[in-house]
Amino acid sequence: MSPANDRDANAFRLRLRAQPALRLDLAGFVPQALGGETPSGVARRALWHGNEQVPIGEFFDVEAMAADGPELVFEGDLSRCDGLGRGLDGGRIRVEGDVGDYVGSGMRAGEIVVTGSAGLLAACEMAGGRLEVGGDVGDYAASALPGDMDGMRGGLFIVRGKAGARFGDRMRRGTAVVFGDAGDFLASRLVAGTIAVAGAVGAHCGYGMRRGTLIFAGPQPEPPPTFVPTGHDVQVIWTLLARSLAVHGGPFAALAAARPRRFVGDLAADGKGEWLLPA
Amino acid sequence: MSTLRLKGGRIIDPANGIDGEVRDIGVRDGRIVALHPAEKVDREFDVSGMVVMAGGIDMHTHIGGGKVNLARMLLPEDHRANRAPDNPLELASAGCCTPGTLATGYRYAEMGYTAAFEPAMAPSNARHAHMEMGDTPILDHGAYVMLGNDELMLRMLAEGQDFERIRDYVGWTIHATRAMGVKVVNPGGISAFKFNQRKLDVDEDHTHWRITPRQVVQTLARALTELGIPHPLHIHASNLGVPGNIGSTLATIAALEGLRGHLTHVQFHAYGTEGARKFSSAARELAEAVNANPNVSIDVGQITFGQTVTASGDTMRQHANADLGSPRKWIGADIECDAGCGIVPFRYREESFVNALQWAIGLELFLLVDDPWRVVLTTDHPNGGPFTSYPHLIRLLMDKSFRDEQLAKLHPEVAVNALLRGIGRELSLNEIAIMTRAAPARLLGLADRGQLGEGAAADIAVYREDPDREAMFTTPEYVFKDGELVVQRGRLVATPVGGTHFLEPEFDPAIERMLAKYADEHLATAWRHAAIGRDELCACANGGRLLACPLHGRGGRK
Amino acid sequence: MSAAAMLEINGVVIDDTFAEAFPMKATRLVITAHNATWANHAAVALTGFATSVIACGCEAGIERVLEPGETPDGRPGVAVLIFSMSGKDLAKQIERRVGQCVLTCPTTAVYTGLDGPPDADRTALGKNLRFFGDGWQISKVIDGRRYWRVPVMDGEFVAEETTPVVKAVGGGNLLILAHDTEAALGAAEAAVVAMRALPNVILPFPGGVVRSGSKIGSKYASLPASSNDAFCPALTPLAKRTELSAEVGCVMEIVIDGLTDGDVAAAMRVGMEAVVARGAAAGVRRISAGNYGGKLGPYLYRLHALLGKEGA
Repeated sequence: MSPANDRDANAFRLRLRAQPALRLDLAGFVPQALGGETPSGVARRALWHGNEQVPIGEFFDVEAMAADGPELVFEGDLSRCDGLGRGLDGGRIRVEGDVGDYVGSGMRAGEIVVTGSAGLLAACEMAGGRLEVGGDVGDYAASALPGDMDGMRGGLFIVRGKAGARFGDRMRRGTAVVFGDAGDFLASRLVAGTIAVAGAVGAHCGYGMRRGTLIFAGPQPEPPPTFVPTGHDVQVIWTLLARSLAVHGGPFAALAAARPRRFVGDLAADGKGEWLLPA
Repeated sequence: MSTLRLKGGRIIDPANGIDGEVRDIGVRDGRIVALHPAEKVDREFDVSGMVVMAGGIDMHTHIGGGKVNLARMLLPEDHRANRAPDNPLELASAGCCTPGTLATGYRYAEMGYTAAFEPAMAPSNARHAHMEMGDTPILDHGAYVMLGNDELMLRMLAEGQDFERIRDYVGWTIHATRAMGVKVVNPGGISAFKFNQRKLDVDEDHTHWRITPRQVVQTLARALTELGIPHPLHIHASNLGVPGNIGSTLATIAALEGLRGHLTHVQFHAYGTEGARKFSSAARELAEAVNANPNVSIDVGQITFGQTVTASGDTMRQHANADLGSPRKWIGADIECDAGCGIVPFRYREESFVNALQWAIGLELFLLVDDPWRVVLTTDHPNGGPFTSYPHLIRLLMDKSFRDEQLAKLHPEVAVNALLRGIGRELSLNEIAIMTRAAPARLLGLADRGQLGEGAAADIAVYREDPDREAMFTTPEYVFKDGELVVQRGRLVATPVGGTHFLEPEFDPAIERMLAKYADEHLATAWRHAAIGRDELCACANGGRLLACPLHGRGGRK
Repeated sequence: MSAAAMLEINGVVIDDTFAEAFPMKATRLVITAHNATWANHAAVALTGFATSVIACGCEAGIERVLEPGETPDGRPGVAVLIFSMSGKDLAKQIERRVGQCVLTCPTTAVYTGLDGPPDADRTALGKNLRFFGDGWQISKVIDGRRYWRVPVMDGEFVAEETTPVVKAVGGGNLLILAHDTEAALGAAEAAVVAMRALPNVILPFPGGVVRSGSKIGSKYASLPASSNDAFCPALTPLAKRTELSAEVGCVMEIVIDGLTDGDVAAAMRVGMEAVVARGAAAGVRRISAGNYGGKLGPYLYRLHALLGKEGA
């Protein structure tokens, strides 16, 4: 990079040169923390590579780019890069490729877009902002870190591909939309929040859910024995939900016209959760 | 053979009546010796102007065994909050209020502590406790085995069996579990909890066994006296944390009838019911009782503000506290019907009236008991707060103006009305050395620890003088463990394996037949695995030294 | 009245005076129901007995009827505005009125009708009413708004958690002075129709018209207000401060509450235009307005200025 290009910037493009031998911890590499830095300054920032700290320039080519606000664009297969956008509190991150574990964990504001797939624990304990994964997400997405009481607790999480197991485990607030299939234990121990899924779901869907809403826009799963139907008119809340989901298009575009069946459960855990089955 | 000399330090060694005398300390092969000033040594440390004390001894800290591990598992978030590793000597270990075994050893040593004792080892879980303590580097360790809620002892009491048989059972249990003493937790109460009692006062009947906590305390205290166990019965009294429990605490002292007893974490047992909130300090009443009963010693269980986790054998009280948990999760457990445990995460808050008063009560107890030899500095780690808060606690005790400053930040009713406000006492370095070294060593029967006399183990902490006692005790200049330099300027430089203190009291082997029969009929584990042999103890202790402690009046089996 | 200030349109004299209004706190609620009938029932009940803050706690009215395409849940609805003297009074009235008149009314749901700035004060809408659910209530956050769902016998009552409280203007008014009752009523009714077509305002009195115009104070110490003797035709020959001449036999007042200063002004303008359009031929003599010499409120609406004839 020529020194002439090494000016302060608030947006950077980081191109992965080679696969790291170990996991890279990208937590802390958020747009707002790098605003006003030069590309060479960014390249010197240390990150954890396994058990040692190395400058990010060891793995990435960094260049400034034009953008409206603080933004980072990562290019390449970042599937060994974890913690991207952890605690993000504003600005935008875009990953053109796959990304590793913990993407968007604990983010509070701002936007992350991953064009490829994400690893484990995507959006775990996410509290606000918007996270969109173009491909699949691994297990425990929108869930809690081990031992924590609450999973995702706000914001909007969109998965265009498939979701792994335990999606939304202990989720408490916010909206998650899954276009593809979901794995086993979807919405297990759900405290509250809304999950809309367009694909098929695995075993034990809604296991132990206490409150919250599951909307099945595609295949209609058979509710387990610990869920029971309620016969009343839910048009009002359904219209509010369906209109909100319609912006995501595709299988979610025309839900408002449906008259969903409603089941409540898990009766083994408070039973104030609901399944809405529109077809 | 290796020798070293600490030159010109100010020695605070209350066990040998030395308070501030400037002189050298010599060490040969891990023992303190008199060295001729001209004798050449392998290494000499200039500690002039610095304070030299024996290594600290924490005689009540939950560092190993089932419930400590349950607490770790319950709070992974505590381990995620770890600082970034910066010392290649340290292996991965984390945690603040429930540190891993390694971090426990590291953090204790960094404060100048060289021994720590787990106070609540369940007999059936003794191996686990020894293995965790063995995995804790640097520190010497030992544990008190829990009795007094086990089905067998309560049944023996209820059946009116001969005292001698109960005594033999107690002796066998200490021997088999390689314990350093016996702890009784909420005497009879943990068992009563399982029979749906939610409280059990000192003279209240256990609904099933029809025995009282008073009987349990008396029987155990007498058994330990007759067995020659150096550490008096370690008593977690009835009604922990309950307003008005001072009555139970005083009744427990009376139940000892002059036999030795050590009341632990007494801060949680010194509550009155005065005032609009029906919750008040009974520190003065308890301190007066301790002052008047020379057979009684205490450790305080001071609370400090912030996040911690309460881990107690007292299933009954922890069940009652579970709703106060923060974060709101808890574990209650029981093992082989011989002891229980309850884990409740807790955040002590300055703005809480109750927590602020608890803080004041703890300090009042430290300052109102006249004889420092019967008061040990503890936070009941992690129940009142993590042990890493000891330097802060020391400053609170040594610095009245600092104490007042902290008090003023608390809930206004406490800040204005606390008995503590009127207490001007500031502890001296000598008194701190007693409460953190000499007294616990004496109460445990550790003749060669907690002191700097000739022949003592060279567990030594050297502190740079600082009027800010918290800074001083946070970062010792040097810490030696058995003569090996383990900490320099508050940073680890070596992590040797610590030793295990234990007792091997005598008992009539005839008791084993009865115990075997009981185990066959009632227990899940096989009788032949009940006792931990010396070789196995050594393996559990990570190859650390076995430090058999002599019994009173007999001398231990060698 | 000086000759220079004389303004007469279509035979109707517009007094050179001003209406005086005061600050209030207000919110808009949207009530929907299975059909327009039940939305209307709820709205009528909710805005009933809400003519004056003096004894009703608030002033409320139906702002307009909403088509299904305009409501959050796609059902027929009604927008109502509620005004009180303080946020606290408003909160109390919303809770009582929504609790007694909407929660109770078949098939209804209630939402806020205001977007409000993000930092706007908000007051409880469903937030406290949810406890009617006795623990069975559940909430749903959709696009940042929380809704409470309270099980009731016809299904569930959905109520948005809170509604913004905005600064508003109360007490704008017009006085219509006519030859007789028929003429006064006819003019007032025409004005009400025109004014109610505007957004952001309500006319809180029955039919939008009030005949008991008041002045501040009374000879009776315990009464804060009393009959506006200056505009009572019965007192034209008696009252020292009468504003009437012998040809005025009946006076009607229209009171306007609006979300902003401009909303009140616009409503007064179209009201006056409707009256003036009928003209002297319909028996209208004058248009005046109530004020308290500028003592009561910061909002002054000069009638001439509203008609674009200031200084004419």
